[in-house]
Amino acid sequence: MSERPRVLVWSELKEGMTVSLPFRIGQSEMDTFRKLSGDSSRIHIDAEFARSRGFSGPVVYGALTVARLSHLVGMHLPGDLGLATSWRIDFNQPLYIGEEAIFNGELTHVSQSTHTVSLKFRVYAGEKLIASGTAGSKLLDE
Amino acid sequence: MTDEEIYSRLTPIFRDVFDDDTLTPHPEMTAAEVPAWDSLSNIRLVVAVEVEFKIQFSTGEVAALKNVGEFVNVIRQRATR
Repeated sequence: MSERPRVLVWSELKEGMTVSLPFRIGQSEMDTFRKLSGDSSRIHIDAEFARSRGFSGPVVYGALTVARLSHLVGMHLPGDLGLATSWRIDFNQPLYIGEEAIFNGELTHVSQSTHTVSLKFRVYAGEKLIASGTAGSKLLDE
Repeated sequence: MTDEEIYSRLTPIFRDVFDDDTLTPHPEMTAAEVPAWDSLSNIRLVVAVEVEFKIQFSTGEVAALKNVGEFVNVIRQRATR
């Protein structure tokens, strides 16, 4: 059975709410995304090439990190009633296949006038900052 | 806070939200003269202004605004810094 999204109503959303989601991107997800996107650039699929350019191995597609952002906002904060209005992301350091990572999000602004919430997030693999950014979501009626 | 200061802080927000580096907000400006100003970008604009000026608008206030000049009037009344 698939995970069910968290249902938070407007009055439950408060600045300072946080969520942390550990994740790991495996080879099968890389293969699936390569087929889906048509992106076969060597930095993502060729270990020898990646190492020759100073990386430890093939670099995880940035969009797969973005996919975890979709999971975070759609399933957890704000969850089931949220509709994305903006996402911004900076990629700071490479994430490698099989590397343990964690997505940390915090609600930083609740806008009564637009019924939207703003989230800041950071993605870490150990001490390494992988990505950071913001996500805005409009909350739909129950 | 002066209107000049408000406009100087609004300009980068407008340029960012509407993705137009030539945009300069002025009192008579309306959504009709900015092609990218739609309902979703309006949400991004209002939220960005709330965050920048550390204020909250009410739903009624936002709905009643007729142009940028009225927006600035509300910001001036609310903003403390």
